[in-house]
This record gives sequence, C-alpha cells and structure tokens, in this order.
Amino acid sequence: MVLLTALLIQPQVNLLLGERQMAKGEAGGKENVLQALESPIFPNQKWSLIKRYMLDDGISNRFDVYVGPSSTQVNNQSLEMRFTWEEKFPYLQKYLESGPIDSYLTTTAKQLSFYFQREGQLEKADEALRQASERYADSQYSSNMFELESERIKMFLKHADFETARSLIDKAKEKLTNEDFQQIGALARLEAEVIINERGLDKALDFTEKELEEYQQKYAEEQRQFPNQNEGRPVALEQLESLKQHLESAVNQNSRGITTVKGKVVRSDGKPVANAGVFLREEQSIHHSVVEDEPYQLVTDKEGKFEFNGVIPGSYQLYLGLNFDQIDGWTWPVQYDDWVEVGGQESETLEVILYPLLELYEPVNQEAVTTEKVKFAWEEVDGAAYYNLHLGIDLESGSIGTVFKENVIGNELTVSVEELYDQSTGIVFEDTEDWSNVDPISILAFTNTENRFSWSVRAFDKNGKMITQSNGYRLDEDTIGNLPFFYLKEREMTEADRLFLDKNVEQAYQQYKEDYENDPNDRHSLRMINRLIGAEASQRGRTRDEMALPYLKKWAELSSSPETAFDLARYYSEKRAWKEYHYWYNRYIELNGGRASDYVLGVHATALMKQGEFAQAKQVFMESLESDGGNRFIGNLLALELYEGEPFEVVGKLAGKYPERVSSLEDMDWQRIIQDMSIEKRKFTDYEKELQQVLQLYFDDDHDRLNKWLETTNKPQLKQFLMALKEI
Amino acid sequence: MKQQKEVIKKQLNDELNHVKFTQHQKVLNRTHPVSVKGKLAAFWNKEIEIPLIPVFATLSLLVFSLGLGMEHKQQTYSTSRELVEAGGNMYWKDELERVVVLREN
Repeated sequence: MVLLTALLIQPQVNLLLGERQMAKGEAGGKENVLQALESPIFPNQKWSLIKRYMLDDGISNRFDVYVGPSSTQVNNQSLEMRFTWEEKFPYLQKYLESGPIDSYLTTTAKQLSFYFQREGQLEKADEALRQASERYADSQYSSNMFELESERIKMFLKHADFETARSLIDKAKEKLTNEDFQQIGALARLEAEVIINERGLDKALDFTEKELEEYQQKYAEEQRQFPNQNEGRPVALEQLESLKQHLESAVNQNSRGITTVKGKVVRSDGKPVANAGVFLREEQSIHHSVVEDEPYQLVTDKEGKFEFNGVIPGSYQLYLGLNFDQIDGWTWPVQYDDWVEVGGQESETLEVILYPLLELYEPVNQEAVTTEKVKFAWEEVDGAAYYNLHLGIDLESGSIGTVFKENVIGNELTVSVEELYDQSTGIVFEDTEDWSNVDPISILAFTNTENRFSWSVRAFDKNGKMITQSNGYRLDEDTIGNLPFFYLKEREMTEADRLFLDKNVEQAYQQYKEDYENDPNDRHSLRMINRLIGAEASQRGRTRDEMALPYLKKWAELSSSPETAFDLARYYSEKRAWKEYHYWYNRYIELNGGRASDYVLGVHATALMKQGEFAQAKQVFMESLESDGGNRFIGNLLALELYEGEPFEVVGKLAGKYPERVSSLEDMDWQRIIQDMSIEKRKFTDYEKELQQVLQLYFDDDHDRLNKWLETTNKPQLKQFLMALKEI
Repeated sequence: MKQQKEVIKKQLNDELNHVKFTQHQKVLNRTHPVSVKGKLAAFWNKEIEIPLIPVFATLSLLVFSLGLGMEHKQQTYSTSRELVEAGGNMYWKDELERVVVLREN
C-alpha cells in the first residue's frame, strides 16, 4: 500500500504541483515537470506534458527576439520556463518514435531536424523528418506528410544538394493528384529553385510562368465552384507571383545568376554569436512577423557564420533571431533603411556586429531638473564622429518620441530648458472625429512639469552609420544601467495648462489666447496656441487657414524649433510663394545646425523643380537620394529627367537604382511605369512632346488642366505616370 | 486543412500588419492630413518616432486556435515575468519597479 502511494500517487501530486507552479511561472515548475516526465505517469499524460511545455510554441517562436530594420518582435516567454535543448532532446526523440500521430508529430520532427542541422548532422536531420513522414503514412494526415516532405526538400536546397532535392520533388509529385493544386503550387516554388541552380534564370522564369498560369486556372476554377470559400489569397499563389516578379526583374537587369549571401554574426570584441537565427527576408515579407514559409532562414554555427546559397536577385532585409541572454546589454545597430541588394553577383558578404549599449550619465534615475540650463551627458563611444539625442514622453498607452538634436560633437550637451519646451512631438487623438479630444499630455509635451520624460543617445561614425545606442534590452542587474528618466520642474504650470490637463480643451485654448493678448511676450501661450491650431486643422481635414497664420509666423520667429520654420516653408511652397518659401527654408537650415534632413532636401528639390530651377533641383534630388534609403522623391527626379529629354532606357535604369521604399503597402514601381511608357511610346508620334506638356502642367501645379488631361487622354501608361507623380 | 491553415496565416499576417498600422496611425495624425503618405511625412522627417511596439508573437498559437474555429485571443500561458517597454528600453517589469524605488531613495 505504501509502495503504491510512492509509485503512483506521488507522481500524480508532482504533476499537479508542476503544472500549478508552471502556471504561476515559478522557477521550480520546470524541475517538477521534468521529474513528472521521469516518473511512472500514464503515457497520455506524458505526451500532453511534452506537447504543452515543449511543443506548443511551435517552431517559428524559436527565439526571444526577432530584430531587423523594419520591426522588432518579442516572445514574452521567460527564461525559466524554457526547456533547453539538452532537456528537451530525449523527450522529443521519444515523441518522434512513439508519440501519438497528430500534428504535434510534425512540430517534433521539425524541431529535431532544426537541431541536427544546427549541429551539422544533415543525415540525422533528414532522418527525423523522414521518420515522422513514414509514421503518418497510414493515417489521414496527408497534409502533414506533405509538409514534412517539403521540409526535406527545403533542407537539401539550403545545403545546395539539388540532385536529392530534385528526386524528392519528383517523388512528392507522384503522390499528388490534379486536385491538390495548392501542393503542386508549393512544389513548383521549390522546383524553380532547383532550375535556377541547374539551368539558369531564363529557364526558371519560363517554368515559373507556366506553373503560375496553371495554378491560376485551377484556382479560378475552384473559386467558381466554391464562391463562398474565398477567404484570402493562398500562400502558394503569392509565392509563385513573387518569384515570377523577382525573376523577371533579374532577367531584365541582365543579371546572370544567383548569389551566395554569407557572413558572420560577432560581438564588437570579436566573440562569435553562435546559434543566432539569420533571416534574409524578401521585400514583400517585411511588414509582417517572421514566419516559417519564408525561404531564407539559417542558424549561425559555432563561429557565428552563416551562408545562404542560391539567393534569387532582389531586395532583402536581414533579420536576426536572438535569445534574451544573447541580446541583453547589447544592440545590433540596424537602421530602417538597411537593405541587402542581391543583383546576381557571385557572392555578397555581410558583417553583423553587436555592440554594447552605451550608458547615460545625466539626467537619469527620475531626477528633477529645476535649472534654466539642462546638461545631458553620456558615455563616450570609440570611433563615434557624432551623436543624436532623442527625447520621449510617457503616455497613458505607451510613449512617443522625437529627435531632439542631431550631429552633436562630444559626449555632452547643454541646452536652455526653453529648447526642450519648444520641442513638439506627435499629437495623439482619442477620437478622430472631435479635435477637442486631443491628448493634452502629447501637446503639452516637455512643458508639463508633472509628466515623466525619457531620453536616449545614438552614436554614429563619420560615414553616418550607427555604431551603438543607449536603448535596448536591459534585463539584468548588470545591464539595467541608469534609468533614462527625468522630470522638468523649472517652470510652473499656468491656469490654462491646468484647464488643458483636465481636458477642458476649448476653454484652455481661449485662455491661452487671452493670456497672449494680455502679454505679447508670453512665449508659452503662443506656443500652445500654435500647437492647438495645428491639432484643430489636422482633425478638421484643413490646412492652416489664414486665421492661424499670424500666430504661426510670430511663433516661428520666436521658436528655436527648426520644424516650425519648415512647416511655414512648406505652407508657402504649397502657395507657390517662393520668396517667403526661401526665407523660411533658410531659417530652417539655420536652426537645424546648417544642414537639412534627407526628407527636407527632397521637399526643397521639389520646390526648386516647380520654380523651374532644374539644374539645381537635380543636384539636390541626388543629395537627398544619396542619404535617403527610402528614395521618397525619386518620382520627381524621373519626371525632371524625362522632361529634359533623357531617353526612357536611361531614366528606367535610374529608377531601378533608387527604388521607392516609403511604405511597403503603396510603393510605386517606377521602373515598371517607365518601362510601360517606353512601350506605349512606340504607338504614337509626338509622345515625348505630350509628355513634356503634361509634366509642365504638373510642375506648374495647374491642377485644372492636368485633371482635364487625365480624364481625356488616350495614353493609359502616361496617365499612370502622372497619377503616380500626384501621389508623391 | 493545409490550405485552410495557409489562408489563416495570410489573414493573420494582414491582421498583424493592420495592428501595427493603427498603432502608428494614432500618433501619425498630425498637421497635414492629405494622404497616407502625407501623414507619413512627419514620420519620414523624423519629427516623430514611434517606439517599435513589440508584437508579442502568438503566431503559431493563433494559427492553431483559429484552425479550430475559436475566437482570437491573446495567449497568456507561461508568462511568469512581464516585459515592458519604458523610455525606449525593454525591461522585466518587476526588475524595473524594484530599481525605480531603489534609485529614488
């Protein structure tokens, strides 16, 4: 009886305890789960523990943090909860051999295969996938089987064993019928990769076009049969389309083949970062999180090395997958416009270096600043040519930040507190219908003596490349450092400020106006009037009306903020009042430390273009393009070049060199538009002349005549170009 | 099932994309509401920064639960310590709270 208790009941108690503690997230929970797994519990309990604690996070959540130019993604699963590979391995092996035949078996096999690949044991990696696939053979899980077979093919492709990949593709095809067109489409994507490697891009393009066509026919057929099942575009279709597009542009650019993208992930002291995930992500994938279906995924070896073979030409972004202990206290200084351009060169070598976070010295740890001067000081960084200072404001639902000073030389900066007060940030609305619903915290910004602020620093080398920053993962006692928070308590809140904080927006607005009328030297009221006018105009869908202008001009003269001067410059450029435009543009430059941001350069070049200063405009466009990875204003430069009679072919190449990357949702493919125009041109005489005439209308902002032309033209491609220009 | 899963994954991507977009949108409604690009202008000019709000990855879990026809829900299992973003840094919430109190004294 006693024995029975020890053997059967005790483990059950352990199991219960383990699960409870796991739910509470106590460190002991993991130990108890492992103990329970080793004790004689029922097999189905064992399998469900493995599923729940070792498999439920699938295979895509392999890392704590995914970081890249466009986004950061964090898995909020704490370290104590995570079973290490050594702990998991025997249980996953057991599951693979004798666990229940369900979809978790696929996850098990993929995890094991991933583990073996990382260890360089390809045979074992393949064996794990094959074994699971065979265990499915007699059941209804044919889609799982297909997934595993695809995984095997991908593995051999990854390791450049095209012969084996080809034979697996052929075998997988045999098992499919005509109705499995989704799977056929997915296989075609893989087969195309084999063809690229064996027979080149041209052949691969022919193949992809043919497969895509067949796929589209069957897809259309299915949609006709089941019209209500239309819930979204299938992945296979998207992948084939994207592949075709990539291959087309590669063939058009005469690139000869495919590229090996390789490199190393190391720390700045030279230590390699092993077992980091490396993801080479296609342009159309970067607006969502890293998913399993993306083709180029690897893990670094012991020396931190990675190598992608057979990368198809295109634009990519590099992402890393790291665990908290790898990133804690370190940063990968990646910038939002960092792209990897693969253009058919034989190989491309990338260097990924993690740097230690830089320390902030003052003001820190929630210190209250009460003086008229504020001194910022931070750690000096080796090789830094200059630093940028950023400020942040705590909001109820997070925080909002802004660049405060750029190109700061040396590791400290003293500013007058007024400069902080003048710094505006974004405006947060609760309700987009009612302008008086603005969030006072965001508009009061740094004049609010009650709110907590934060700051951060980024260090850059002489080429403008970021070296390191103060912001990052600070998870440990050793890495948490000084807290970047401070208060500004130099001024006192006015009555109007109080009204505003209490959300009596209209009343506060009137009070600010009254205060300003009583005292024309009341900087703060003038500042707040302008911010509120801006908010009102924005919410009501109007640009600044004439009523607001006198306040804005007064404020712009007083304010130390370059943004205010730029606001006015832009206002006058919309009005085509060029004299005033230049006055305020120059004032912006003066306040911004003698230089313009890449965005402002683009606006300025556009203004020059509209004034007919073509040579100067071109020069400024080029300056803007050189520093702006998004190539926001490329369309205008193309318009200018075409207007001046440059051949379509030359202008098309320029478009290819500087692709627009403003938002992945609505970027213009200028190269394609130009190409389409060059084909359309052949059908008309005087095409160039008409092009020049309508571009003149565009430069002159002659909206009436341009719209009339757009409505009546018989040249759809030229129309497309002008429509795209209007969107800039 | 496979096809269904793919469709769901696609939807989910769209949804994640949308989530990010609305977060940006909230702060991007600034002074020149002409077009989406117009709104992005302020962002582009680096006047405004939105801290990269971590999308807590529940992707595989969501795909799975959606596959069973369940409602969207945030998976909360095994989150013993909460990660928070503050001042542009990522902290463990309990550690941050401890240090804030410690440094104030």
